[in-house]
Amino acid sequence: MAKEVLTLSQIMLQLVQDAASGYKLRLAAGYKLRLAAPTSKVPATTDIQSLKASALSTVRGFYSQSELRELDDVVSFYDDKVTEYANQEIQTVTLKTLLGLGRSGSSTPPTPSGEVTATASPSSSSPSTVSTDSQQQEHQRTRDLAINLDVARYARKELPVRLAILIKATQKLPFIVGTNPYIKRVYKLYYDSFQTLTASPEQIRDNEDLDLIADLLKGLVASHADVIPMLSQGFLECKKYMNKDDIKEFLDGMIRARIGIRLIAEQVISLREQRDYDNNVDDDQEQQQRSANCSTSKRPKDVVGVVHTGLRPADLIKTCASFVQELCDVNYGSSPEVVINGQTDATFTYVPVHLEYILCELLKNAVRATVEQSQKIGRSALDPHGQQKHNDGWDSSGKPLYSSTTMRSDRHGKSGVVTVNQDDDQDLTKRPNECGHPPVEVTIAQGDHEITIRIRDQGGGITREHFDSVFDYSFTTVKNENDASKNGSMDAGTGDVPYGVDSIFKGVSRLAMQAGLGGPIAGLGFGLPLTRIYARYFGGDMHLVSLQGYGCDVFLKLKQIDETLEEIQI
Amino acid sequence: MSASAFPSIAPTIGVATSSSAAAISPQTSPLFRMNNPASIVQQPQARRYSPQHFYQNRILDPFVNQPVSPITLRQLVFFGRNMQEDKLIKSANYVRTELPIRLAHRIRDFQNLPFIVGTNPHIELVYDLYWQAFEKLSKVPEIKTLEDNDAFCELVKGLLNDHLVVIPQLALGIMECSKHIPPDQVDRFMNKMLRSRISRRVLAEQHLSLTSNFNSPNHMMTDRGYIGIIYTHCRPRDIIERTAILAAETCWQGSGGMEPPKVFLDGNIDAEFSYIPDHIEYILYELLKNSMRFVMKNGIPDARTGELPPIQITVCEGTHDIVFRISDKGGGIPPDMEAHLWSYAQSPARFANFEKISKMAATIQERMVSPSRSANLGIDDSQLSDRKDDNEGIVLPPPPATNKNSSYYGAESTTIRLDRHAPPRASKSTSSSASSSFSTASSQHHQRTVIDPSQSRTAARKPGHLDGTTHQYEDQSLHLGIGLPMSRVYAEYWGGDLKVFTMHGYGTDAYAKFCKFGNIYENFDV
Repeated sequence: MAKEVLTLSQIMLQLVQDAASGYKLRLAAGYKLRLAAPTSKVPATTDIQSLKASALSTVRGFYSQSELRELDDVVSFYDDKVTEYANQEIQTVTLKTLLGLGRSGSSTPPTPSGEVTATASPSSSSPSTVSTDSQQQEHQRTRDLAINLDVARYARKELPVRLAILIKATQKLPFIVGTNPYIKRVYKLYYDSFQTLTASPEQIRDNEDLDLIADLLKGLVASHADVIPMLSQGFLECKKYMNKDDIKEFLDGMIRARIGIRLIAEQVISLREQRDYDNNVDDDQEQQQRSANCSTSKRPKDVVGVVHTGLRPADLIKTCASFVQELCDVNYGSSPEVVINGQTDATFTYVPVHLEYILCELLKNAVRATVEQSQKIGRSALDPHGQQKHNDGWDSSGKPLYSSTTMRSDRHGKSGVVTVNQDDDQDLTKRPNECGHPPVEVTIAQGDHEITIRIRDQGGGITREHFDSVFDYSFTTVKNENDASKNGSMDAGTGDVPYGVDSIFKGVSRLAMQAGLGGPIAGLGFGLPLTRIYARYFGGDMHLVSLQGYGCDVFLKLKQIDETLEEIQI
Repeated sequence: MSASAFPSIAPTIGVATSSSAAAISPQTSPLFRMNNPASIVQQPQARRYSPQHFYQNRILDPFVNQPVSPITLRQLVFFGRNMQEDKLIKSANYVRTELPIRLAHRIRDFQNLPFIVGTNPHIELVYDLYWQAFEKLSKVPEIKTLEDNDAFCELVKGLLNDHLVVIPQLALGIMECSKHIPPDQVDRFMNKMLRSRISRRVLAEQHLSLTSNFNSPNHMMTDRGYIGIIYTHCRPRDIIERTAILAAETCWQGSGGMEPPKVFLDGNIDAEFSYIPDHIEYILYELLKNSMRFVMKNGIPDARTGELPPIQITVCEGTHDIVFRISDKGGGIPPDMEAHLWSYAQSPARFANFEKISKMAATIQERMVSPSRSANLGIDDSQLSDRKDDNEGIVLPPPPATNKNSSYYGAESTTIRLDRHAPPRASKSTSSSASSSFSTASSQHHQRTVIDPSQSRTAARKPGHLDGTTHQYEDQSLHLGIGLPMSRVYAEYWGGDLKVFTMHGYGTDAYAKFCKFGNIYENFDV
C-alpha cells in the first residue's frame, strides 16, 4: 500500500514538474505581461522598497530589460481614456439575452436535454423532410450568425467599459497598495487588456470580424488566468496597510465584476467554437453520427455557450468527487467515500464551470477535513469512531432507547419513537469505508425554484475561533512554516511555501484546477469567499454550519436560472 | 408624585389572581378589569385608553436609567447550592431590585412605539400589565426576614400568573399593528419583549423554586441535581426522549391518529451539562413537532416498510457548546414561507390562532405537567389543580357545540402529564398505564373537553366520523406560529443559537446550539 502511494506521488511529482515547465514555457512564449509567481519566499516583514526590489529581482530572471521597463513604468497619469470609459454606465445584459441569443430557435423554451437532442438534431428527422431541413439549417445558420454577431458587438462595446471601471477601482486603492508588485501587475494587466480591446476594430460585420474578436478575447482570458492568485498574494502582503473591510469590499466587487466580464467574453468565445463545431458537423456526416451516438459529445444541444440547460448536478458531483478523492489519495494515502443521495436525477440550467468550481472547492474542504479528523482521533477500519467513542460517549451503535414497551407502543404496537441509531437501521452507504473514514454525504434537492446541494462531512467541524473568519479573504488553516502546530492542508498553492509534501500537493491541485476548470484557482484562503461569490452570482447562496467535534454541513442553494433568466443581470 | 394619585393601583389590591379578579365586579375599578384579561380579550373595544401614566414616568425614569445586571447560568448554579437563610434573602433582594429595572426598560420600549400602536387594545393591555407589575414590585421594601420573603414570593407568583396572557396579547396586538410599524422594527420589539420576559421569569421562578426548596423540610434530600429550575445533569438522550414522545403525541392527536415518524439519535447523546430544562425542551419540542408535521404531510413512506422517513437527531459536543441537529425529510419549507420563518410581522394571519387561547407560558409544561416540578415551586398536589387552571396549559375557550369540533379542540387542550424526573424507563409501565400517563385536564377544568386519546384514535379510524382534512394534517389549532421565533429567543438567551436550513423538495435541518458551561451572560441584544 505504502509503496503504491509512493509511486503514485512520484508520478504526480513528475506531473508537477512537467506542468511547471509548461507553465514557464507558456510564460516565456506569450504572456509577457504576466508576472510569474516567485519561487522564492517574499519576506513578509521587509519594507516596501526591499519588497519591490525582491519582486523585481525575481522578475529580472524572467524578463528582458525592455520588458522590465515596461513593467516598471505603470500607466501614464495623464491618460484619461480610462476615466472616460469608466464614467459610462454599465449596460447590463440579462442571462436570457446571452443564452437566448446563443440558442438556435431562441423562442422555444428550454426542454429537458433528451428531448432537445431528439428533436432539434437535424439527423434524426425523417428523409422526406431533408430538403426543408437543409433550408432550415441554412436559415438557422444565418440567424445563428446574426446572434453571434450581436453578442460579439455587445462584448466589444461593453467590456472596455467594465474593464475601465475595474481599473478605476484599482486606482482608488491606497497608493502603498498600488505599489505592491502583484497589485501593480494586475493593474497593468487590466490596463493592457483595456487598451488592446479599445484598439480593436469597432465594427463587427461578418465571420472574420467575429473570429478576430473571439481570438482577442481568448488571449485576454488566458492572460487573466492568474489574476486571482496575484490578487490574493498582493493583498496578503498589503494586509497591514489596509482595513480588512475595505479589502473585502474591493475584492468582492473586483471578483464579481470579473465573473461578469469572463462570462461575456467566454460566451463570445464558446459561441464561435460552437459555430465551428456545427459547421464541421455539417461537413462531416460521420462525425455527426458519432456525436449523435455519444452523449458526451463536445457539444450536446443543451449546451449554449457557457450555459448548460440540462445540467445534472449528480454527474458533476461525481466528476468533482473523483478528482478531489484522487488529490486526497495522493496527499494522505486514503480518502473518504462520497455518497450522493436525494434527487439524483435532478437537472437544471446553470453555468457548469461555476458549479464545478464551487463543488470542487467544497468537496475538497470536506474530504480534507474528514481525513485529517480521522488522523487526529485515530479513526481506522477497526475502530471507526476513534477516540471519540471512548472520550465523549459517542454512541451510534447502542441499543434503542425505547424497547417495545414504551407508552407509544401501547397505542401503535410498534417500537418506540426514539431510537439510537443502529447499524442495521442505517443506510449501508453511510458506513465508514475500509480506511475508517466516514463518507462525505452529498444530498441533492430540487425545489420549485432552486436546487439545494447539501454537503455533509464528519471532519470535526470548525473551531469557534476560526468560524467567524472562514469567509474572510486570506484566511486559511493551511500550515504555515512558522506555525507547525496547525495541520497540513489541501488548499491550493500559496506560492510562498517553496517545496515539501504540502507544496507539491498544492502545486498539483493548483495546476489541475487551472487546467481542468479554466477558471480562477483557489489558494491563499480565497477558496470559501470565492465560492460564496460564485454561489451568489445568480441569486443563490451558500451557508456553512459547523458542528464542532463532528463535522460541517454546507448548504449550497442555486436558483434554477432558466426560470429567472429575465431578471438575472450580468 | 406619590402613588396616592393613583388609587386604582394601590398596593392594597395585592395579588390578584384571575379567579379573585373575576369575583370582584369589573365596575369597581377600571383597572381591575386588567386583572381579568379574559374579559378584556373578549371585548377589546371596551378598553379605554390610559393616558394617565404619562406623569408616572417620573417614577419610571430612575429605573430606566439603571442598567440591567445580567447574570450567567453558572452564577445561578453556584449561588443556588447549599442554600442558607441569608443567601435566600440576598436572592430575594436581587430579584426585588432587578425585576422593576428590567420591567422599566420594557415599559420604555412600549412607550417608544408609534402612538397608534400603543392605542391598540391588546398592546395597551400588556402595557398596563407591565405598569402594574412595575408598580407593585417597586414598592416592595427591602426583604429582611423569611416572612418578608414569603410575602414577596406570593406577589411574584401572582404576577407570573397574571402575565400568562402577555404572549397571546402581544402576538395579537402585533398582528393588528403590522400595517403601522415596519416589519424589522416589529421583529426587534418582539424579540426584545420575549427575551426580557424570559429573563424576568427565570429570575422569578429561580427564586420561587429556591424558596420552596428551602422551605421544604427535607430540602437537603430533594436535590436530585436540581438547583432551582436548573438541572445540572441535562443529558441529550433524556431530553430528546421526553420531547420526542411528547411531540409525537401532539402530532398523533393533531392528525387524528396518524403514525408520526420515528426519531433516531446519534452522536454524543450522553453528554452532560447544566441548563434550564424548560428552555431546551421547549425548543426541541417545537422543532420536533415541526419536523414531524412536515414529514407526516409530505414525507414519502419507505417502499419496503411503509414507514415515514425517520427524523435524525445528531448531538455534537464541541469545546464550548452542544449542538442538536434535527434533520428531517419532510419536503422542506416552501420559499415563500421560508422568507418569513423568523418574522413576527411578515405574515399577518400568522398569529390568528392566538385568538383561540388566552394564556401561554411558552414552556413545555403546557403540554407536560410535571408534578415534581410543581413541587419544586412549592405547590403540593392539592394546590396543583388550582394552580393548573391559572398557570399551566394553554387554556382554550369552550369548544363549539358540534361534536366534530369538540374533538378537534379537545385534542388540543389535552394536557399531558409526564414526570420529567422519573428515569425514562419508569414511565413505560404496563399498557394500561397509557391513559393515566396522558390524562386530560378535564377533571380540573370545565373548559377542557374530555378526550381520551384512545377514543380519539378510535374515532379517527371510523371513516366519516371526523372531517377528512384531519388526515392531511391540517390541524390549525396546533399551529400558533410563534414556535420557531420563540425557540430562537430561548436558544439565544443563554448564548446559544438556532438555525434552520431547508432544502425545498427534500427536507429541513435545524441546528440548536446551547452553551455548555453556562458562562455566557444573559443575552439581551437583539
